Amino acid sequence: MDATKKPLRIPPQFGVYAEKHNLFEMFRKLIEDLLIHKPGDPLEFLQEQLKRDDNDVPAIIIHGPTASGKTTISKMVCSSLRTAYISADNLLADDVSATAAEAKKHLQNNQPIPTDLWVKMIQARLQLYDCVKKGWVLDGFPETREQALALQAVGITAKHYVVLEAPDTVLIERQMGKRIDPQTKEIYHTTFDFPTNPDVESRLVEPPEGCSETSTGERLMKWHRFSKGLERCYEKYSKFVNADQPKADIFAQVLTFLKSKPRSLAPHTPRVILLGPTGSGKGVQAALLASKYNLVNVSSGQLVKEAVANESKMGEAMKPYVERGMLVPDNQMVKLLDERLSQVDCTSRGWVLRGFPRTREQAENLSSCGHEANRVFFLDVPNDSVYERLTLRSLDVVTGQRYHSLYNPPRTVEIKDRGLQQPKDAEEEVRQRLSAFYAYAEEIADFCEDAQHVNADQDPHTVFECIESMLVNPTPKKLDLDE
Amino acid sequence: MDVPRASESKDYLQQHKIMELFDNLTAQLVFNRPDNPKEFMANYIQTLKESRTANMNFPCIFDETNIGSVFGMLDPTKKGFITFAQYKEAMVTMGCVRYDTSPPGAEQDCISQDTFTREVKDSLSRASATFQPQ
Repeated sequence: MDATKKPLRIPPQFGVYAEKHNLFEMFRKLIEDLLIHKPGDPLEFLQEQLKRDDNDVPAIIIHGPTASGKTTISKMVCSSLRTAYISADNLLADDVSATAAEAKKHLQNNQPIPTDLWVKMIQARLQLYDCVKKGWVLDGFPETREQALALQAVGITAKHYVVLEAPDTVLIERQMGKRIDPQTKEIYHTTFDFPTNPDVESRLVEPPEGCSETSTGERLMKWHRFSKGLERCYEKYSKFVNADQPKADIFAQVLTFLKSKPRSLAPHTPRVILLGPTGSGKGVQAALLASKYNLVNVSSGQLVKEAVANESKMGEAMKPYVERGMLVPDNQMVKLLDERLSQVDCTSRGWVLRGFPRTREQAENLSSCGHEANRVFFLDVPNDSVYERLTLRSLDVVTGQRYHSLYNPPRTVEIKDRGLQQPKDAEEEVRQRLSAFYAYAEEIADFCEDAQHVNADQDPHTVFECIESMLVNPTPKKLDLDE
Repeated sequence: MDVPRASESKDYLQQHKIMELFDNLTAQLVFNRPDNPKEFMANYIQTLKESRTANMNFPCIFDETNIGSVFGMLDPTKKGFITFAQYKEAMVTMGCVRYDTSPPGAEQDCISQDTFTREVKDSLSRASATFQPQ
């Protein structure tokens, strides 16, 4: 079916459905697997792939020069995420496999192990149940670009590639203090990470590769020779962490990175909800987002006023509430929004909604209408800032210019005297609106699990940059951490 | 793309009609929007496999009633025939790519409903047979 001949009219609900089930990524992965394995019967192969469980298990490579802390961090990640731990040593230590025996023979003859043997060993290891179900962390392998490409050719790719970097001098010094416990194979350090148990202390020996400056220097040179080639393989999802920090800091940074998902090529219509107390800057941010990303700026308050002004059927129903200054009842509000958000411009360009939902029930009603947001942002701002921002606002009635005593003061005393304040901005009113917001904030946060928090206590463009980055990058996934 | 592996992959895709298969899968998903897409797709592939062995009953979105209604729209006065030009346009609309360009009745510019139905069905089943011919 030639796309140019038949105009495709796809219902807009399909966009929401496809995003929810991640269809783009699923199809991409299926076609990728098909092309890598090229089965003789693609139908059978596809069925099998589809029947397999959703495999969003971690696939991490932790790399770096010698003494950067790879093994330590890998083991910490493994125990925290409960994944399998694979390293060159424990692949070779496998007594059962024939490929491992062959590889050891190469080592005995002092020859480097050929790439295809490595690939076979890793493939076999990755087929085992624990890797398939819970993911894997690969420590310090592949060492060269050739090995990395060979792994990719059979379809083994990592989702995250962490490189621990530090200056050479730091590493050489660190290596001199490295000690290993021969029984548990745990790594300790004479200065930074001394074992607490006296038995372990007595057993400690120097590592087999030696602690001397020259041997470390040689290994560092080898790393520098191959590191750039490797980086090019894993560019798209790599992170460089400074290894010259305490263990806990490095681990925290690595974990944050592991929560990120790679950017996907899937088509993405942003449907953003901005939540926050009065004065947090929702209106400003919504306008900036709408202008930059061509989204439709939907404000619930504005919609109500428009409906009343148009004297439409819904507007008439809402008029008594608006006149008395009360909030419009939920069902009418949801109907109004549903109508607006279902229009073609909203469904095709995406939308930014602010001022709604205010309670959990409203949020549930909105998503049951089929309008689920794919980004929810809470603009966090402390109460004092809110008062400062709102109560100092004034409007010059002659020119129509808006001023703020701190951020945008009026030029002359004359203008200042002319300025009027909105009754809405009086302290009492603001206090009431703030408490109304915080009453329901927690339950909405519970409902929208993917909501992200933005520090709105900064100038508008900084806040906008922060929101932009959260909009463009995929939402971070929730890791199943074992604390 | 000059890399040999890339051209191998392109050949593989064409030979097994992978892109057509995914087109059909997507069409089914757009139409049905099942709650469990993976299961649904696996079932669809199962129907496809069975039709491959039986060489009939290919899964297709349009069925006989749809074809009948298209014909009815083209022939509102119920003559029982449509013109050749209408026939060609209808084929394009239904997405049939390879169809008989000179069906019986073309010279007289009167194509009967039976001929139309048969041609559409044949062409659609060819489009749905997204696997290497056995």
